[in-house]
Amino acid sequence: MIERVHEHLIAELASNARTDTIFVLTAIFLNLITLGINSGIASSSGENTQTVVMFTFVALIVVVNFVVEVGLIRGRQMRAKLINGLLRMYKDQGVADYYDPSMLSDYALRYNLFMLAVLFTGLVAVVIPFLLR
Amino acid sequence: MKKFIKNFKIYKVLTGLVCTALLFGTLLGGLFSASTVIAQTEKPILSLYLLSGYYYMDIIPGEPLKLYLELENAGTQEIFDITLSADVPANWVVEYSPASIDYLGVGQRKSIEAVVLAPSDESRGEYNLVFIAEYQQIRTFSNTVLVVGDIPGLWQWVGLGLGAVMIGGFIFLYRHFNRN
Repeated sequence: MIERVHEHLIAELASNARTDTIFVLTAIFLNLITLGINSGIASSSGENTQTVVMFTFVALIVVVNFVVEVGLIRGRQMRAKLINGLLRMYKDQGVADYYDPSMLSDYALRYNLFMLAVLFTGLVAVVIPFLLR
Repeated sequence: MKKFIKNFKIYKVLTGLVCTALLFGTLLGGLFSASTVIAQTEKPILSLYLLSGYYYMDIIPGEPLKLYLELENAGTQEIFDITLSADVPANWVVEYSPASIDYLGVGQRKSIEAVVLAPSDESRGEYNLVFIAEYQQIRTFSNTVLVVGDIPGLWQWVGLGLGAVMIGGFIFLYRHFNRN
């Protein structure tokens, strides 16, 4: 049974990593695309319709970025829980020495960096078009 | 044969005369070049100039902008009753000072002040204005391009405000979801 639980935890970790990767890539891609579109709009003539389109894209960036940030925070918490479970399991099995607990803090740092990257590209995508306008 | 010799002499004399005539003709033609003489009638020529520096300017919507034009009679006849008008975008207003010119003498110039007012809700862009002077259904014109920009700094502050909202929102989310 313990092997099944171990497999399940590993599968959850893999799924978690995949989901977080999709979150990060999607957010950064969307931010860069929107940066291009809004910069183009900002450089053109300032008709009201274009301003509305620009603000709609800004709303999209804000919502998607917040969703991704929440997803990444939750993903980090989930990963910590899964690794803690694995560590306890390894401790019970007497193989805990093979798994370095400091990996937990490494993962936390990595997630923070992902969140910073998403937040910063989002900020650039929001602010730069308005500076160009 | 004798007849031919006699005629030959006549031909020679005639040829000599033709050549002499051609030579004189060429020489005289060079001295007096061909010219057309046209009787000069009195004619008014009205020109309207926008003074330099007023051809491409920024204008703030809702704020009057002064431009200076010059009207010149470059013809040989006096001009009376010149009316001033303008071809401008919708809701734009141009007021001239003086509003019209009663008399413009030969070679005379007259300065005109044009006050342009763009509607306060005018969107950003470049606008072409045509200033028109007209007398007796004859028109002369001058044009300029005025640029409407945004209120300086407004959009920059909007952008920075949105950036601040994003940072604040992120800090809130980070604290809130980390606590839970």
